[in-house]
Amino acid sequence: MATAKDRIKVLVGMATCGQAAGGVKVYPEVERQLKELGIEADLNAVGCIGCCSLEPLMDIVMPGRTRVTYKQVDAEKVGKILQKHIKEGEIDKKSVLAQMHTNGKDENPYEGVPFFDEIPFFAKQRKIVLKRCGYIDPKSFDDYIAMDGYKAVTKVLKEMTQQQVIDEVTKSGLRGRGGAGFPTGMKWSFASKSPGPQKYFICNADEGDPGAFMDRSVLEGDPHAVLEGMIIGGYAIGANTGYIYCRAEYPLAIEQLLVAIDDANKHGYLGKNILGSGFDYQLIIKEGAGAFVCGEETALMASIEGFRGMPRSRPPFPAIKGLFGKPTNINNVETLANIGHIILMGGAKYAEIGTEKTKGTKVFAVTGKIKNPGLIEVPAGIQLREVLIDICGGSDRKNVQIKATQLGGPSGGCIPFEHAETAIDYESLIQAGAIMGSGGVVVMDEMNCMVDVARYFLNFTAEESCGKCTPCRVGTKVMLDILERICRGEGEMEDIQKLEDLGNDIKAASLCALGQTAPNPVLSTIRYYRHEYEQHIKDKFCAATVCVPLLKFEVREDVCTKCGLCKKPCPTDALVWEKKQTARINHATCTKCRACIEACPFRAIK
Amino acid sequence: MIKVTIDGIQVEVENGATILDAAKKAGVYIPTFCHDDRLAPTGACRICLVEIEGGPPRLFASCVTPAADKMVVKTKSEKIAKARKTNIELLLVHHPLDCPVCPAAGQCHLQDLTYEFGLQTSRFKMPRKEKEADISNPCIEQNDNRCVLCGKCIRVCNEIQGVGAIGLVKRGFNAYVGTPFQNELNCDFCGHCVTTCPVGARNSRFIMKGRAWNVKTVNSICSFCGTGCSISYDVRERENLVTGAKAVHGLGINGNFQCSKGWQGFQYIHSKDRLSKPLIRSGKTLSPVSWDDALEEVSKNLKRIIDEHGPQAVAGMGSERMSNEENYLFQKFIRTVVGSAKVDNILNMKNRAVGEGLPETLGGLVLAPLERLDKVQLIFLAGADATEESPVAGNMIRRAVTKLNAKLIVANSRNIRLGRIASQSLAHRVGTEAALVNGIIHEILTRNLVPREAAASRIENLEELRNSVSTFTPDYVERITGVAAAEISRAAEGLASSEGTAFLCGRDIIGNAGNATALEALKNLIILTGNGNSGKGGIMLFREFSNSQGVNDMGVTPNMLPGYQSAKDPKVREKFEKAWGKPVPEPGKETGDIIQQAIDGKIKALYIMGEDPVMRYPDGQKVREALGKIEFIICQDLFITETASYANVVLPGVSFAEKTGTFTNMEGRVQRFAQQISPLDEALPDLNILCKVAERMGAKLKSNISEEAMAEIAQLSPLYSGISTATGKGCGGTVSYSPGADSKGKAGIVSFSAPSEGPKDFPFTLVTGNLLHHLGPYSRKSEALNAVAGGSFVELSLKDMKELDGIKEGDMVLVESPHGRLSLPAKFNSKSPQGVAFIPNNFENAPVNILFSGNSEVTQVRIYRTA
Repeated sequence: MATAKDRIKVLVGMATCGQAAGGVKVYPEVERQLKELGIEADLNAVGCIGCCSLEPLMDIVMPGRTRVTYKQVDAEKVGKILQKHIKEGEIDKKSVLAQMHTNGKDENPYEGVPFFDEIPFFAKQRKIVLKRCGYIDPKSFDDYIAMDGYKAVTKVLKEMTQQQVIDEVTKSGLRGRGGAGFPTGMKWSFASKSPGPQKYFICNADEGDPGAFMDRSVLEGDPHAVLEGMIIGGYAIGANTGYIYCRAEYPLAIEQLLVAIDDANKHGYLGKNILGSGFDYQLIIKEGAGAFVCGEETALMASIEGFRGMPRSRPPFPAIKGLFGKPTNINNVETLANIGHIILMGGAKYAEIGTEKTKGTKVFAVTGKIKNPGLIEVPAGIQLREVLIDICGGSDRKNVQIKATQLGGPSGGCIPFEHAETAIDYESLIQAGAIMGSGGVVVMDEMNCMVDVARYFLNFTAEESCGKCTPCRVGTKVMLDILERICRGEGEMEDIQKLEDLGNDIKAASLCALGQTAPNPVLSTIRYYRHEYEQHIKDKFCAATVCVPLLKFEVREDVCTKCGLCKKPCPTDALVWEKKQTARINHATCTKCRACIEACPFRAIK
Repeated sequence: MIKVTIDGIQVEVENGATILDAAKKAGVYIPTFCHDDRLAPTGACRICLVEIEGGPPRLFASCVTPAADKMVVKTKSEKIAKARKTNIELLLVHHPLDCPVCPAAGQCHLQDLTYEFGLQTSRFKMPRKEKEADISNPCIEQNDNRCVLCGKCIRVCNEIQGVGAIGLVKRGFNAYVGTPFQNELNCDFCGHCVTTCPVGARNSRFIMKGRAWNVKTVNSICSFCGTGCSISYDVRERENLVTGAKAVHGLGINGNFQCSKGWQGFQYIHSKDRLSKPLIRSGKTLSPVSWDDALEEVSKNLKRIIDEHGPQAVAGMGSERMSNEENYLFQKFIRTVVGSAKVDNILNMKNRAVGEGLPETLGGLVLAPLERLDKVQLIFLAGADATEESPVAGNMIRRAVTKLNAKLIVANSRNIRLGRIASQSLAHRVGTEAALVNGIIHEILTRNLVPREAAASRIENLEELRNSVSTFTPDYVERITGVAAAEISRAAEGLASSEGTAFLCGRDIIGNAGNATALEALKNLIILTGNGNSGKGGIMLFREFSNSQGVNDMGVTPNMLPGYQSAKDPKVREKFEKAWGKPVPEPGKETGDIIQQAIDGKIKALYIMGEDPVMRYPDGQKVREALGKIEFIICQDLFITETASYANVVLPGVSFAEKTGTFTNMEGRVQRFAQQISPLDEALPDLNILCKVAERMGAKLKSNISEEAMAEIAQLSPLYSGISTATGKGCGGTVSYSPGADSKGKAGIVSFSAPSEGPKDFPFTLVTGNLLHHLGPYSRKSEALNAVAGGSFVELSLKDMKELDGIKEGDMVLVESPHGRLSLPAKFNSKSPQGVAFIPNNFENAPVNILFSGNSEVTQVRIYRTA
């Protein structure tokens, strides 16, 4: 009988990104084609390997050969690729992305196909947290076990005391990946020392920053790793119940978690007397109801308790008085996904990665005006430029330069591209006016108006403010109002001063981190792009051609190349163009939708 | 203790104290807004910001940040001042600034802070909110434009009243105070959210507060139920108006609690129906006359009847809602000026055991104070729908259970609201309380849940008790009461193991004489479980009206003179005769039920002071017949009550706000209520009326001053000898009905006969009681309370409604007992178990007592759909 190793394997990327890109159609097509071609193969759905722009991805593994990944596979290509690869032993060079190293020495690679670590997007990455994402079937307990799964839990429960676990995590230098960067070992030690028979361990999976999807990918691609972190953490602090607070907008993540928890229970890694250690532990999933503020730990706990998700004042910190008034530890998904690896490789080894104060790797979700958007994991200390240019390939438009990068979402700040040599570690980023944040990286180019960017983020925080404390509830609304006026060309010069002034008061006076960080996008854009604000106010001019009330919707004859690319997207035929003619805009029918501006590669429309 | 430095001043505070607490101790002022000493701190308004040296650069809300040892706090700095000022500015950004028309002006915290911070103009210009005021509920107006979202209303509703009817809706700038799913406000209308609102965002739709500088506050006692809450009343002196009422933190036994009657019930004081002049009947109508004419009419007729039929043809009925002093003087008037022994009150007429027989009934047990609810491990609530009948006491029970971890066992024939938080609900059949309690005693004794020795040390005649309950096996009791045997066992275990149980008894047990055995059985249980006079638990008896207790203490009863001194005892009579200078009639055979005697033609004149027997006497047909037969009826009241419409003369007395006096509450606590305004129109203080009538009759009642009357009471009644009259307000002391009681008790032997099955063609058991929003005739004169609860109904279980021809809520049904019938709208209520109907006793247009007969407020009825 053929063992798993002897069987052909086909794997389709079916994380949310893969599904959205067309994986939902590819998967059944693979199933159908395999049958039609008479190929006996194992077909599996896997998570995301990070290169979102190349989805849907399909991997083929022939017995004894390397695993080959095909990119941008659609239903039409499936049959051809399968036929060639499996039946004929040939690689479709047009569709292939790369092949993976196998651990064995006598790997049998395909010629002319690059290895993953040879292509720029992966070359500078260092995968620890994302090691299994996209490689294993997240629903397969065996897949996880085959890749060192639950070895860390076994080691902890069989060989280590609670203190030893905390010491190991402390040694690793791991800091909270949710954004604040509090040392995880220290957090655990507080919760562990807090007296009381009932303690809770919470996984914060309420990822809510616009453009951030690190935690979702981990949960969808490697749910057991998070469970393993929670079991180890629960053991370390003496909790018997863990909650995973996951936003309901992540249905696939919740599905994978449910399967994983069920499997872990079945295999004795959860439940009573785990591995005979006497340690009892249960995990409960609590779905969030769609409030950004519930990512704030005290609001999150209120929500689990069944109350409106509103933050309460700290101190007392959760370690002293947390969920249901009991000592509680809260960690973010990515933090927990690191734990198993730290236990296995040892804290000291982990601490070798990164900088003096920021250890290990960090996962980032890179979006915006960038050539290769996606999910990446890099060692701390890497320069921002390396991420933007080397890994992600720079600007996605020929004639438009990257202007700035927003790190840390609505709580963070922007870093101008001129400062792209900034090292990615907690301290350097703060110094540059941004924050590490949870990992959202939004890339902006010259066609992004920084006043509009500030307005966008303020709009988000003002909407998501819970309404409890005055500075955040009213203050963000007042700031938003001012920004909207500036974007309409109705600003006054003292508005900039007011924004700074009020922003600083809101930061100092707000109850929770949402309010304490809400003004950051405004303050950092004023810091670096004050001239844009001034242009909006004094000159009624938006250089990025974003703020519609300030745009003339006229074609600059000196720039127009008469290419006509602007004509097609115009929904009202207001754009008049004929071959070899400069385009013209008919103001009577123009709806100022900006489609032509976005379409013009030469920025000829102002 | 920890050491904290506030602005350079070092103070020691308890561990757990906030920075604000420490600052208060250091004498450092920190402005606050959302902070309220009664409520858990929330840190929402961010006015009380301070800096912590060596801490993070942000500012901390001092109200909610715990002080830590060696913490150094700065409360004044440029940064703090600026942040605080910005916060006020932000609160004003959308505020309508409509102070001239805002009811809160002058007592508005936002106004005060704005002034304090010297704000002239705001840097921020934004459109003001222009939302219509929400008046979608019967009596609270919500004005979101003025709301500053301090959250006090939400917190007071949730944390203090335990209702949680409101919360924040929506987020951020759009957040507002609202109800779940924007449903109509469903609450108790206690008004605590309104009286707590620091701005003018929540108002009563019925009360015009008046400007703060025109209003003085007078602390007094609520005139409704027997709990005896302290209320602070707003008075507009210039206009002689009472304009508001609220509970005040730390004032009185209620502390923070207030109920709908306490909040808006006082409106009856200024009801347009108040009598402005005395009335005399000519033919079928009552017409206004001068006091002189009215007094002449009264004295002339009384004298004539005494002359013609002897003094025993005159009877007097005192009042459970009038003061001790008035009741004292009233019985003195009947006994000495008229010379009749026939003086009584409705409570005593209903159930002598808790009227003039109270000390005898208690048999050595001491009434426990309400504050003991905060200390007991277990509360046994029997026959009382506490949150409806005595809402504040009900709230104290709720607080004990939800906040102080007491357990609660509810024994009731209906599924009352407190059942939801009870650890056990014993839903028994109507009228089977005695069997239930005996069943519990049987369990305790047969299973030795209370150790034999302990039981023997507590009860003298233990064996006798054991024998008397021997037939009350769990199975037998289950058959009688409908309560599962296992539940009875569990209750027995809970009661036996609790160290300190409060036993609260309500109207189902003490309200009618038919159930006297239940009280007797309960007493046995109290003593057996060691809650006699151990000080750890004890007995509490709910009282319906503000002075239900006092009217009996004052001897407005046929057989007892003031202080439960027997009128049959010649020595006692001699003492009173000496003090009063007149003979005191000995109660004879004829001093039975005044109503029965009237029917028998033995009563020719009846003087009713502040009572409404037509509505309150259990047998409605009988009392109407009796009044019809009496030749001359005097009514002294504020309104033409149902009873007053039978009167020949109506004398307009005054409300509690226009006089002073004392009420004795359910605990025996004597509390002085204070005069707030001068008497309205020609109405006279009731003590004056009594004195004037006596004068016309050629006698002198000595004093029309309440303090002097109380001095006389204290002198003649040992019960009240310790009651202080010196203090102008508040509690004058607590009366003990079992002086010198020790802890060992004698068990009363309880015989129990199961209530007989009603006639088959009357399948429903009808019970009655008060609604939360109404009590007696006065609450019906409050516009606000009528808006909340405006009419009568018959409550039925959903199942019964279905089976009765598919009756729907609001359908008219006919409720018919063997004695009478009422047509009422049907109402669904989950409280009613199948087969039990409930009709409130509060509505004069649907007098439920016409369905009852005898001395019982329970009857069998049949119910039909009529429309």
